[in-house]
Amino acid sequence: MKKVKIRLDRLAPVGINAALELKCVGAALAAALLWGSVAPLHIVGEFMDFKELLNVGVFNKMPGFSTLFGGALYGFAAVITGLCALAVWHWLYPRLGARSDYTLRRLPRRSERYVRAFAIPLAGIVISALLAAIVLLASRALYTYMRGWALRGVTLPAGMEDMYA
Amino acid sequence: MLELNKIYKSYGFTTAIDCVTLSVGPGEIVGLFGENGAGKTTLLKCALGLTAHEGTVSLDGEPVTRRNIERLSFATCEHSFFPGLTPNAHRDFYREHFPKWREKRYAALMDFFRLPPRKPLRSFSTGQKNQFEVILALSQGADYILMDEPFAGNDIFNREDFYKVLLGILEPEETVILSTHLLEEVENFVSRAVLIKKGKIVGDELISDLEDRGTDLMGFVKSAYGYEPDRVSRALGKLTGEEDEK
Repeated sequence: MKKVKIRLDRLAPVGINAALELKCVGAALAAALLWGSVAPLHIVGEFMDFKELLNVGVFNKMPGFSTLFGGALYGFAAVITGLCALAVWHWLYPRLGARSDYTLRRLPRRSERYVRAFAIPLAGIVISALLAAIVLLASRALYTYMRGWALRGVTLPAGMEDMYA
Repeated sequence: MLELNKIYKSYGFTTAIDCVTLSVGPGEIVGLFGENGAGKTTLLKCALGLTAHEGTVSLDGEPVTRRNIERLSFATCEHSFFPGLTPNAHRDFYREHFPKWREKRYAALMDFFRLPPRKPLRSFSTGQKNQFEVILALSQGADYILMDEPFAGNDIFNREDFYKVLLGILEPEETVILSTHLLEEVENFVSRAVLIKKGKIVGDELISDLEDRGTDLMGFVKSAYGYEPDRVSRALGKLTGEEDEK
């Protein structure tokens, strides 16, 4: 099988350090993931408190998913916004200080100009969206599980079943 | 043969190029002359496909596409190099993208102009930047070399050296289209003069034909442009008259 070698220096505009840019995007994604991972911890913590109160006969309103999940995706939204700005900057970069876009537009390899402008931002946006979806689905699954766990073995007073349905 | 057929280009309501048809054959050195805003730069950009236009551009009968675009190179006073790269990095980039890259010519020209190979272009002087821009265009391995005011900012000695070098290194099949204001300087360098005025070609002559008729490039340009020799004296006379009246 033929090995496909990806050259990092061809993933960013000519003159920009692609490796450094990839590291920055990676760090931003890690930070967004860290921010997003607070939501599951919050869900677990809230349901543990909720369960404790149920056990002593305090029947509070069950915490809603959207309340607990809160702004867990804000980090990803910020990263995606930043990556959109990066794409615009990459596109305009060959016009800064000179008109090297003329050279890029004359290259026999048509894709070169687009790959260099959009490869890193687009990959970052896709990864960011995937991570956001994973955080959302995992949090939702955890919420469903914790809800069942909190109500397990609890005898609800008559008329309160609907409240926790 | 590079053929531009019925090229039309407008910017809003302003017509920049008005139905220009021009053919340039192999080995020609064509001077493209005209006043500021006449359409010289726009015409070159249309030929290279750098700006949207009406009409067709073909190379030996084939439309200019990705398959044959490497046969055209471009040197512009706007500079099409990458400011953050060194000449050596440019060499590697061009070598990778243009299979007919002329390594020997590049090395010789770099050596001739004594350009530092390991300094980023952004640290070069304007003259050095112009030189490097032209070096890239000449070394790309193109059959048609388009130059738009490539020596703007270079001193006279530099320019003279360049014309001499250019005449010495060009191969018979290489074609140069040079847009410039420096008429007298390029008179002995170009083989054909094309005049453009308000987006239209108003003159197209071989230098040898001009010589046969006993006229020079400047005379040809002045007559094609309808230059009035007494314009300056009339203007001065008017001014002086006004001042006298006061």
